[in-house]
Amino acid sequence: MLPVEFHAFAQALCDPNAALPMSLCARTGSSIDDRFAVYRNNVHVSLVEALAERFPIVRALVGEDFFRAMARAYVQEHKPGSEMLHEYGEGLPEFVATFPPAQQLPYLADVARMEAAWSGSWAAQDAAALQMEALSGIRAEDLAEARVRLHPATRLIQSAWPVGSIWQAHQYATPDLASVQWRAECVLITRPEASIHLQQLLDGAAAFTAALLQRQTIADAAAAGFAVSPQLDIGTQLGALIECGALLEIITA
Amino acid sequence: MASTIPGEPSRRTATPSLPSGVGVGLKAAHYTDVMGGGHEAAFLEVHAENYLHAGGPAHRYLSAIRADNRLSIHGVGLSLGGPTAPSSAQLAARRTLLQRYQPDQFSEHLAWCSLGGTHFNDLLPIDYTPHSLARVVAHVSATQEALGCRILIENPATYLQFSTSSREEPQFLGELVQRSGCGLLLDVNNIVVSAVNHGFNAAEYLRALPLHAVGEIHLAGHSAQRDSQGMALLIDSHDGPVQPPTWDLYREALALTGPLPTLIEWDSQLPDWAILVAEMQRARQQLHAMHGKRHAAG
Repeated sequence: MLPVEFHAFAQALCDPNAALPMSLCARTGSSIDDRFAVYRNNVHVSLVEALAERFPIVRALVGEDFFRAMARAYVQEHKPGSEMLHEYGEGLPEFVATFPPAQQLPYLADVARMEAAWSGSWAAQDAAALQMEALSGIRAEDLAEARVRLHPATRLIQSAWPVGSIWQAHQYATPDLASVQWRAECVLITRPEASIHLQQLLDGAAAFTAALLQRQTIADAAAAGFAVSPQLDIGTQLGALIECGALLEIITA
Repeated sequence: MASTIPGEPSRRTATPSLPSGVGVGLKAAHYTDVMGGGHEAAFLEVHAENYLHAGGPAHRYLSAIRADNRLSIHGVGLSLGGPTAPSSAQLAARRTLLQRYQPDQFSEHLAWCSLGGTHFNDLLPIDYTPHSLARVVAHVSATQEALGCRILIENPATYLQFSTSSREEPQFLGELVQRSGCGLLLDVNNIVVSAVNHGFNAAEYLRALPLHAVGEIHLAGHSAQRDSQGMALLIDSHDGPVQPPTWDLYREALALTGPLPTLIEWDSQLPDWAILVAEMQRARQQLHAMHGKRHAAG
């Protein structure tokens, strides 16, 4: 097989109307097209399956048939860039956001974003999370100008939709979305050890954490938090971030 | 890296190999079934691509499981049949994986699955020409060099062939084994599938393989269809129990090779662990029968 024949084979996998490589043959009496369709089907079905595994809540929200049709459309446009399939579907949230049939569910793209972040956290490098004792070694005046380094498995999802509550509802066999309050939510994903934790951050805590994650100093992040919630207790919030294993290090200036 | 000794009849043992018992492919759904032992598998086999990421729960499970089990790592994504060699990043990722788990064996496929940065996630066929042989030998050799061990290459299940092929698949595999020093992963079900799809005799194919180089046998289920012309078409689906023709050919293979590490593969529509245990028991009976015969004969 010359490189050109590999390309023709690959092209025909992606495009059912493309000509099959001339050198393909099948046993007498059988159909080359039927045989090639097995490969094309294997590619599409296995990639749809990879997306179904990575985005179970999106799947539950839209139903199996809708999800598979949407995933198939995604697979048609975006093939994996590597053999590490748990990374496949990074572009699905963006795709969902502009997929015309999904426009009736405006929160769907953010749920996909959260599920992509969840598997990113799942696969991230293991590391020893920052412990509470570390905080006591830092002088108060140094803390203000300090910045945090995140644990590799930490992710933050800010959404105009209640993605955390939707996630929570889907931890049960029969998800009940009737009790979900339709509001903006911010979800912090952490995995200091083997298991993944999701928690919702409210108002000022969300603003403070988001600013920290953007590498702002603790003083600047606190200001961002106070702007939303004037009563915010920064010490408690920072302690909570350490407690849930979101941080790796506090770097003083 | 293992070197080839031309004409050497016996199995090479340049790298640690698996025990000659029956193992099973391990999926995340069955982690808890194998934790703590007592699961009857002589060894476990995982797909390399499921463990190439940095950290997290899958690695913790596999590390704990590895501590108590013999392990084989089976690659499905290196695309050794493709037009270009595996990248240094791909090889480095496997090297890291092998360092991490110190498996008893690493295997890959005579197939391609990636092209120009696009991964198709299926094992695609190649033609069997001198040109292809030189290419695959180079890719297998580069992989063995990078991993520091001899690897096994699996005979493929295919749905199409190429008019450009100038030799049969078993001969191609024989030359690959001889020139690269790799071993053969004998997938018995793949022979059954390809034999029906291409209309060749499975037993003849089997006997034409470089059987001296077999380091492991794979057994899996297939599904049967008919194409639009009414011709039988077997799909290498790995989604059910091993089928009777595959058991029959397994017996024939063992008669030729003697007892070998044997794996039950079941990759989709996963059953309960007890079903896999029953499949392993069935394979073990065949292996023991073979041990008995050898003993009686020897």
